[in-house]
Amino acid sequence: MSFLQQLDNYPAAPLARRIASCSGTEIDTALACDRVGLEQFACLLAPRISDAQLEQLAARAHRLTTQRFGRTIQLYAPLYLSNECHNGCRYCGFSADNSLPRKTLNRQEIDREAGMLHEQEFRHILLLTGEAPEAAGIGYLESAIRQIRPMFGSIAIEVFPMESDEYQRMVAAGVDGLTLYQETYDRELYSELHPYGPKSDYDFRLTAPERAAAAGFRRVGIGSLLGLGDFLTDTFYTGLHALYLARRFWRTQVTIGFPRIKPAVGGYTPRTEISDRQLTQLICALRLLIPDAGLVLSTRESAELRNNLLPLGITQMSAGSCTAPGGYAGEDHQGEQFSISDHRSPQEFSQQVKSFGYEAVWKDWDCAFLNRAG
Amino acid sequence: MQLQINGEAVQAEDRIDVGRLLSRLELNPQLVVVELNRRILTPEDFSETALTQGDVLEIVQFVGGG
Amino acid sequence: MDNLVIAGRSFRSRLMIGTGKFSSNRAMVSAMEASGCEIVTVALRRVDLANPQDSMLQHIDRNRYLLLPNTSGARDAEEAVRLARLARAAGCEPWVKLEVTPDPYHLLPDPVETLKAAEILVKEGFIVLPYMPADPVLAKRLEEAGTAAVMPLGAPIGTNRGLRTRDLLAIIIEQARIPVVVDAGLGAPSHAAEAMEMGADAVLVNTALADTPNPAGMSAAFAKGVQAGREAFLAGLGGQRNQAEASSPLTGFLRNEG
Repeated sequence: MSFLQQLDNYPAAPLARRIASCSGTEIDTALACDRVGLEQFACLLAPRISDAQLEQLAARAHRLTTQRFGRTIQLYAPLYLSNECHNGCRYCGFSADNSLPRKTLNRQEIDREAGMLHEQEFRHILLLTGEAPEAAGIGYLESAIRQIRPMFGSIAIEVFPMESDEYQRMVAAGVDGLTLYQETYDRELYSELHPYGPKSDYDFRLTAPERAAAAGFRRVGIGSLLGLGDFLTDTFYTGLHALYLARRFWRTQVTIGFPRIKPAVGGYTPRTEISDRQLTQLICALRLLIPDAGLVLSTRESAELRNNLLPLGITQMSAGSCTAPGGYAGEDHQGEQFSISDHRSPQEFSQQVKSFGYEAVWKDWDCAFLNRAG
Repeated sequence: MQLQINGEAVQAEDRIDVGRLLSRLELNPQLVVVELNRRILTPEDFSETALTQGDVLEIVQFVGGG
Repeated sequence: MDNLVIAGRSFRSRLMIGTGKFSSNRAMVSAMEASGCEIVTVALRRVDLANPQDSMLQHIDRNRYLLLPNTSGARDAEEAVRLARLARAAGCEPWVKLEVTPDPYHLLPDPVETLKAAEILVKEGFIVLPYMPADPVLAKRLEEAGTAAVMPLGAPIGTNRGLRTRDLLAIIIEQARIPVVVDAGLGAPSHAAEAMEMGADAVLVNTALADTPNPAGMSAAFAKGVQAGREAFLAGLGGQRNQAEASSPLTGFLRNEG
């Protein structure tokens, strides 16, 4: 059964009602369960959660995370290769409707950007593009990956969804991680927000993580863009999706991101504003549902919030990020996808992390271990 | 002629077929499975299959098991 | 209806019975009937030519019970496959309890040979239920190979020691996308109930029923244990409350929010 079919088993309206109506007692019961299943997960997302219950939830999330992952945070850096895009996503800075300086890095520029990140000690890289195959398609990506591979132990991509054979090419080129957010699992809302372009294909995007896992990606990251729609049902579906991937592709590590919608060049106003308290609850609830998933928090969030969320389940963080192609070398940030809130340099970040009793891990994996040609 | 059945040497008349062998051994053909020279026979084969010198047979049946 | 579904086939009972070690066919049948089971395992053995016995098969109503031949006695994949094919030739439906136990002392299943045999048998169209060590990774490998269920052991065969492999069973149950049947080592109805409370889909019991003076009575008790455990699982067992740690609050920062 593909995830598409499983999703049909959980229609949104009853799900939303269930989450909204969870009582304090049901939340207590969920918190006490040894093993948190989907039923308990729904309760842990409930708006009725009291401060005391949230504290309990956080304590459990903290314990589970330190048991599984220790007191470590894996660092990665996003490297935007291109912001050219044919999609008209209403909420995104790179939307084809927006006029902003478009750029696709050439070989020298890639070298320069990657070199700067390498100098800052990063060894885990996330490559990003929009969706413009003629400018930054499969061939371009393959070449960029091969170019920077000698500098980094682990390369992940957050680009457009691909076919199975294309994912296989990515794996062969040396990629081991994928990030692909469904943005929202609400089909109707999805088509409103993606009125044209290849990204308007909901099914193709939804089933892409499965294709990537089957093609041999070691890590597959999913998530919803929090604030687009009903973030509670979207978070439930994210959990469902993560469980599906973890059970079916049991050799693959699943990670979940928590991008919270922020203002972009197009001036998109999020439908819902998610508070820090709600974000905290989502992160902790997901930790309990899937103790082994990686949880990722980027520099969209402020330094203060990131410090506070560090012990509550997060396992991967970026630092010193730039979301414009060429932004690491240049001062110019006009081609940004979204604005950064945490401006600490990677070294500052790493030192602060240490002061909280955590170790920043720069390198946890090296594709050189793999028995692959090239 | 000599056959090997379930690891033991057994004498039988030349060219006897499996069906007749089973009844000589007082075995119900519907309750046993026969393997001849490592090939599993179906019940339909029994009367068609003539045995020759040196044939190795395994005759098994269901018994209690966990 | 809360039915057990294996390979697309539906069963009301979640208790499977092994037919070995009973003192008589009559004892065996009385245990089967009292259990309400629908699936029974049998083994294949050479006929004793000097003493051809009354076949136990004549005592099992094939319309009522699904025969699940096991490959007990096999010491490697090749022997197991051979036994499975023999059973199929006997006119059985192609269900097989794959059992590869080269160690005659503890009868523990060989993981390597079991996986090998499972891959072959699945390709030949068998519905394979492999008896296996309580190894979560092996369970996923077998699932990937296409087995219809997995049957991890609770404790070594015949020891009646209950769920010694509890922690690993929990992981197997958590991660499985096919039914999990806890097999071997269940010595009391409470063990069976415990397995069901943990979320197992079914259990298989043999020695505990054969090795008592009252097989029918014990069998009926096991059936109740399985039922109780299953109902508790469905009703949603509450966990044990964990003490909250008395360290500094982790979410205090939220309450300073404006």
